[in-house]
Amino acid sequence: MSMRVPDQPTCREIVELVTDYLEGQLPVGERTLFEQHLVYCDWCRVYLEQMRQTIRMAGEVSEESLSPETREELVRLFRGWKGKK
Amino acid sequence: MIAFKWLAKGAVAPFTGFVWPTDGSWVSAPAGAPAGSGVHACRISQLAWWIGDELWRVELAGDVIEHATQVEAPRARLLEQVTAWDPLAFKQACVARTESLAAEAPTPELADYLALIRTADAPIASFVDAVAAVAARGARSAFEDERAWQARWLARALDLREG
Repeated sequence: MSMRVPDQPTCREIVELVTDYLEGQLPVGERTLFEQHLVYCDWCRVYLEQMRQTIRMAGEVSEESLSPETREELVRLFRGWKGKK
Repeated sequence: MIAFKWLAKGAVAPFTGFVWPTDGSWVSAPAGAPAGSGVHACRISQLAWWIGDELWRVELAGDVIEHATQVEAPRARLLEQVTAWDPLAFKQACVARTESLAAEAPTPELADYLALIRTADAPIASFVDAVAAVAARGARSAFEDERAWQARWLARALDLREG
């Protein structure tokens, strides 16, 4: 069921704003609407928490912590991805 | 200034995860923090926008900035938890309101909202009730009007007063 909600962001808009929100880049008015959405939307709360965890975990990975095989695999994937662009 | 603050269980700020001290210690926003990064709280009229697990009476200090649905201050402390807060009673009040709206405008859309709100928790029920008001009355302003009604319900049921 879709709800007609005046002036309230949709879940899709929230997803698009997540990075700016986590980086503290949203203007006060947008941040307020973002957080009001989180009050009543379980899905967006979960998504935001997943993003926070991903950023936290990614921040813990250093080049030195990777095995040579993993590093080689990442380089291979990156080259393949660049080649498709 | 005395205001109110919604927190998650354990006096945790719902968006930042900050654990508020419950011993009356003051908490300050970081010096030089950008606009909007102060301590946020609610006047009674703003409570319905931010329904949470725990409601606390708070004291704000410093220059208080007024926003549409919240207030912001450089410093604050928790004074006491509003133990009368009963999410189930509030949810039931929202359900009863939506039942009235559905009776007022018996459409399939209102029937959907009624079915949804009966299965919802308090924060979702608060929101669905406000959306149902817009659908029933056909006016965008009904959203804010319903939030205002919910805030009055909270003030009455919880005997809230601003200082």
